[in-house]
Amino acid sequence: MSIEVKDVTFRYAPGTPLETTALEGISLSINKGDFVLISGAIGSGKSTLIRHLNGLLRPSSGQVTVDGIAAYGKKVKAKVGVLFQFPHQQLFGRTIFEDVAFGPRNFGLRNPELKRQVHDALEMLGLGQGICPTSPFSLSGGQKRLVAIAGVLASRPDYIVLDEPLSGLDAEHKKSLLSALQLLSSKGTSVVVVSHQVSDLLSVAQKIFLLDRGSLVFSGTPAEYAKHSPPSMPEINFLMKELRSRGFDVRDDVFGIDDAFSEITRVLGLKEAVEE
Amino acid sequence: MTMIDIRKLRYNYPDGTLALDSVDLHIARGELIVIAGRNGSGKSSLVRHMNALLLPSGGSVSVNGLCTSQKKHHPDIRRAVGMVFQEPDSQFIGMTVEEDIAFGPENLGLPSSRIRNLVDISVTTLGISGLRYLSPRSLSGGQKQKVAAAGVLAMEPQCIIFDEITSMLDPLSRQEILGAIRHIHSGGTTVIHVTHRLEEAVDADRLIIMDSGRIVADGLPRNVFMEYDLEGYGIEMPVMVKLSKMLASAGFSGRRLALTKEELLEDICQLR
Repeated sequence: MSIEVKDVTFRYAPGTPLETTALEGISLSINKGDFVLISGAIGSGKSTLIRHLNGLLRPSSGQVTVDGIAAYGKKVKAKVGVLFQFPHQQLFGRTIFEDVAFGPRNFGLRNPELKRQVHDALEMLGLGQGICPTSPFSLSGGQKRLVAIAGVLASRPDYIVLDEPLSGLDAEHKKSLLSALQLLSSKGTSVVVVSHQVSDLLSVAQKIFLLDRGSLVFSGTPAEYAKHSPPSMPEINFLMKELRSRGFDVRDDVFGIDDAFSEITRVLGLKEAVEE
Repeated sequence: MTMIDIRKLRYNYPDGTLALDSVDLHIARGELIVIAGRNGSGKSSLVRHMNALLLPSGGSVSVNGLCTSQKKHHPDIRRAVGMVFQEPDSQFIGMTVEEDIAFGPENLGLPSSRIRNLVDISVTTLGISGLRYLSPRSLSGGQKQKVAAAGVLAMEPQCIIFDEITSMLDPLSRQEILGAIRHIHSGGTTVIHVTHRLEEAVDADRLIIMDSGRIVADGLPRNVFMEYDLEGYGIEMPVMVKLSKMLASAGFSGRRLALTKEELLEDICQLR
């Protein structure tokens, strides 16, 4: 059970003067239950890549398979749920319930399962089922984004692909989204998050793929990523590296605040404070 | 001198939901203000009152002494206060970047030499001279934001509001646009920057925190970070501030609350 991307190259407008190579020789796999982060600058090919995972784009060469099937059929659409940037522009239902129920209903789900899956998705994201009768247009930007994500979760796909789901979310909503995704991944759903907010995701992702101008320039675990030291590393990591370069014996593969705290208190000989 | 004067402002959405509740706020010429708060706290509703995109359900908003509830003042108010939104795509009109930026000043009926001059100044300030003849739609997210900001700047507003314009950008584009905002501010323009990221507030004159339609904190960023439990308002503190606070509670006696990596590094080195 996995998504396999094999040697995929993709060109926009092939054979015309506007031909652009957006992806070049990309190979990677996403296994059952993986929590994957795909990162890279704007224009690096992240969004083009994920459009291959559910067959929205066909590679110019190479192949993409989902659980062994070529990624273009309707079967695959039910397996791979994708949410693009600006999801709030995709809201249209009269009520939040109608919006979230749209996907699963299209895949043939009916009440009472439909209702249950919609409620579960809203609960999981901390929105609560109480908001079902509300109009999605009365929500704030961040809440709209969560409702759109609930729409993907409610279909219960095997693979969830989210493009920049964290942007515009406040700390609280970020936390509920990340813990919902972690829970899903621990239960066997594969989660693929495309984001440049690497620092928010290093502590939850298991695998990181970094794209640069259409090529895969890094793939590995968060700890390996920290050693690789790209500019998008969390500031904490730069702090630790600079402390190290000034002769403090701290680890330099630290990127979370709690680890940084214990390292600094250790080298300064401070007592560890009671964590809240 | 107060430029934007907000008194007892209340705003209800058309469905009756209370979005702003008795907000008092006075903004002086030339300030650099960051407004933060969780989703739905009323930030966007508040700033949309500052150029009469929304009108108060109760209380008053005036800009340069002109009350927004009087329609005849709207042209003057909107000239004084420009706004750049999160999704620049929806704001482009011109075929080229230059045309797009010139659109605003053209509509003000300025002579063409003056328009050219304003476009020149705006593209230089935003560092996008190289993009002048490109189509705005062909640009990256960060470049688009800069073009949108240049278009507003070319109207020579006294105040520019940036409403969550950095939330879609990668770290590099974000740094560039933040640099451009600082540059605009150093030219004397009042800047109001709405964001979720408090790292972007460390060098502001004032940090305002909103929660449930009210202003709950308003002051120098360092003081706001020290005195308030911002996590309780659903906002993440800058990571260096958080670490600095954690270290302080473990007995680390830095000279101050560190706001940046450089400050914290300095404090730790001095205590070795």
